[in-house]
Amino acid sequence: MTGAAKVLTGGCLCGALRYEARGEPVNAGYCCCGDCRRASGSGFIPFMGFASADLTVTGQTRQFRSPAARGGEAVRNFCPTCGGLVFGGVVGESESHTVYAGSLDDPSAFRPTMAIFNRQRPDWVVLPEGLAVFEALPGQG
Amino acid sequence: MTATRKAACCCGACSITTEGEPILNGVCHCDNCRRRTGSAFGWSAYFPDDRIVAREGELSVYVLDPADPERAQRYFCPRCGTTLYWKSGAFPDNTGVAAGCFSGEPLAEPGLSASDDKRQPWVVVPESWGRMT
Repeated sequence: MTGAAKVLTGGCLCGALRYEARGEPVNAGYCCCGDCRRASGSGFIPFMGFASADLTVTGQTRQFRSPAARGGEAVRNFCPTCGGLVFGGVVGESESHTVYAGSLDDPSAFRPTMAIFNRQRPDWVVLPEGLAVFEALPGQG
Repeated sequence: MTATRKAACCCGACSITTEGEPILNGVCHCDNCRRRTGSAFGWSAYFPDDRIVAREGELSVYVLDPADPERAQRYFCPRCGTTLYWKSGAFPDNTGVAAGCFSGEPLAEPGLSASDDKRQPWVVVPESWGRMT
């Protein structure tokens, strides 16, 4: 091996909820689903997927559960102090987590490769060139 | 006819209702908006305080700078985490609403890219928009 493994760090607005993600994300992209748009109050959420073994979270989280597109529940974790949205999944239970890239200490390190739920993308959200675009989830159109 | 619009958090426990059109409708790429949303930018629509016609639900407040509380106060739903609206010292008689939370009568699309110097290399905004640093 040469060099150190890639480590991405980030956290909420006030800094009480922090994480460290190791290695390359298993996926990265724009999610334009209605839930992401409303949770963030923005046009989409940029996401990165990590295996739970590659993510370490410190600080208190509060969880919000909503119906997931794949069935079951989607869980969002936010900071109870500042409300910053940080990641999805349940620490200690989920096999993988979705980290919201806006929470990165260095967001320029984010490299989106796909856009999901493109059918719900607002017209004014312009996708970067070169993304694989899915109207819903990969495998669903 | 004057448009009345309701913005609600993700879980629907909290809402704010506005009347008329925003005085400012844009996205902001600053670190603060980015961390608050987990997104690339915040989408803000500012309305004069007297055009806020209803508020429902109990919101938590986060004061950005305790030494200067008037600078920015963020109101978020303690149940789902959505920051629904805020007050900013830059717009003292106005309320900023998280515009992605509006439903029903569509709000015009944003036309301004604020803190554009902080825009991430992977974010594209329409050519027609104004830019502000």
